[in-house]
Amino acid sequence: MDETPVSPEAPVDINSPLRFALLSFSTADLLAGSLRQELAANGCPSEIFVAPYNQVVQQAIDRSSNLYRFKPTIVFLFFVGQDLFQDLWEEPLKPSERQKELRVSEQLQQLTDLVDALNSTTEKPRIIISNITPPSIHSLGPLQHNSQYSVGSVSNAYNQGLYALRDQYSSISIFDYESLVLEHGMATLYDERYWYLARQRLSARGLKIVARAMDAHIQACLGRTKKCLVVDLDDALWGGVVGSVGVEGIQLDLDGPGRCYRDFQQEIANLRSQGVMLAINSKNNEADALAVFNEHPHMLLKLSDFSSIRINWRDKASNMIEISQELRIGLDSMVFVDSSPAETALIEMKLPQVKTILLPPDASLYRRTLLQYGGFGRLNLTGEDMVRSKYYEQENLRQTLKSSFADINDFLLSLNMVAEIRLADRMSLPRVAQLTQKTNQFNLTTRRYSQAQIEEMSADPNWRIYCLSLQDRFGDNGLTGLALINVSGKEWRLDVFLLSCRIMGRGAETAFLSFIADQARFLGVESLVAEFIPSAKNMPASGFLNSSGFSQEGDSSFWKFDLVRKHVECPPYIKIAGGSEK
Amino acid sequence: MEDNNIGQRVQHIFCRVFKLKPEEVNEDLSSENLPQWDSLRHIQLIMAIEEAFSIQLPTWEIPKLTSIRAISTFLVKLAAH
Repeated sequence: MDETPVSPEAPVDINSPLRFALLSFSTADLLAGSLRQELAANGCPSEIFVAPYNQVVQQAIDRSSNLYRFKPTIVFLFFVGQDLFQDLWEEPLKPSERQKELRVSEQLQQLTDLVDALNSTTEKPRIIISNITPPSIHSLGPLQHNSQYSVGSVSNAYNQGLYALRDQYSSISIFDYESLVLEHGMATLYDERYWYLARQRLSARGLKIVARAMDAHIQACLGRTKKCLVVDLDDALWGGVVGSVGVEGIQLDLDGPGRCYRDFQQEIANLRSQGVMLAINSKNNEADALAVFNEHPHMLLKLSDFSSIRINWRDKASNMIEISQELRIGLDSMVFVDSSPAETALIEMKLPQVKTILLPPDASLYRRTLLQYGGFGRLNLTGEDMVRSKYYEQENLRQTLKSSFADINDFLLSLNMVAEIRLADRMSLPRVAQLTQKTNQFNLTTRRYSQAQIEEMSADPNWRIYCLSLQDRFGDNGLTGLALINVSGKEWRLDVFLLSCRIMGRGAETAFLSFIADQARFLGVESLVAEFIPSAKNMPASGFLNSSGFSQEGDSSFWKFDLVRKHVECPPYIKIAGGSEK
Repeated sequence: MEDNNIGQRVQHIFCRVFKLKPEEVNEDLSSENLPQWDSLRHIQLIMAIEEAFSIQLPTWEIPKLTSIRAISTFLVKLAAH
């Protein structure tokens, strides 16, 4: 049993070449060569040790062997069904059930011994083990599932034992060889000629396919999963060019040929659920492209699914650089998907660290093309991964759109802001206290209160605690505005009036003040009193009282607002959804 | 012209697989006189030839193609059919 857990995805120092050992019962030298190429192309130089195929067990068990002297960081046990159960596959009618069971236990025991030996060293390499498949053709034919004879039962039993072994040792991960065989077929992966000539199972194509899949698995092992998928829009998320044919003219449907784009979007959404960030890099008039998101009935992806958006007429390489800076991720963790060979070639030339995927001319293959790319593969998924910071994504979205609006008012209008203002309830009190403690910039008085003090105030009829939540079309910003008002006298005194920096610069403070003023006036209050107490950080709030129509009391920090004679206008681009009067 | 072309292409592929310079390669090279030409390299060479010429070589031919001359001759014969 494993003593000290090693995470299958813990990062490994990749500044030095990866030390990788390949153990196989057939000739694996050419596979090692192909793998070295794939790893190198992925920015991962490697040194690969291949054990001679007739010495695999000896090298793995003997701690003084060349394998151990090589000190591998990762050991790959590439055992396929034909290697382990060749006799059973070749004469499937011969063995009894008992004999088959014994053979499976034997192989699993051998596997366990190998893993134990590898685990007993101080270096404790990561161990990757392939699962197996039954032969795709064999002499049983239809007897396989219609009689007591079976080769499938052997591979099933072995795989079950293998998965149980993985559960016991945290250093093991399973390489899904079975999925490769399902996708490509034995006829493509294998070449009998090489087997007879040099005891190599894989065909030329098989070498590439397996090497590529192994590289993807190793990247996942090393925690080097790609972080961001950057997509084009026209002839990617939908068929056609929206700038030419309009929203009604694009192909995107729940049925028929237009369905392939929807299925493609579904796979992109699936990636997002796994924690992959999405970005858009498209040559379009922004309004045309956004119209599809806003108006087309069959769009699966929403604008808010994207952490970064560049829809413009600039070159896509510059956009990629901006996206990488905005999301604060390296270019080498980004994947660019486009149906234009020219655009992918441009990115390949200018930004070779970015992985490009060229979508095929036939859109029905989009989904498969994306799925066949293994760079987003992971060995593990935490709750944290699955819920990428919503605020982070939404904020980036807002900033991007902001820079493309000439008139700030147009931008603010486009946000469709709704300010929900309510008296604080029990659940919001901790957040209220936190806001007083943490907010520095738009804070008129910078008075700090503990949760106990806030709880006292909320029970005290001399105090009113108003909370503001601002929503816009990208999402809900949460509780982001606060006013603590002393209502004991004939005037309402704003003891605390603050806004979270998340929603500064949008007129929310004015909307808030106008609501409070209306409430006070409704209750017959004649004036509001507020204070501005300057601090090192609250300069952004210094002009607020003056510009809202308050008058300063002499030189003091106090300002007064005449509710009878004056009004605070709520900005036209914010709707107020008010909490009712107490 | 055709034959020369095939011969040249084979030598070019040979350089790539064995990592040799064009000056170091000639038609007489074979698995007898070139030590690094082992069975594994042989498979690599065959794979490269098959890919470059879009053909599949029959199993019984492959062990016979142990010199550059043999390979070129075989391919020229194949092209003539």
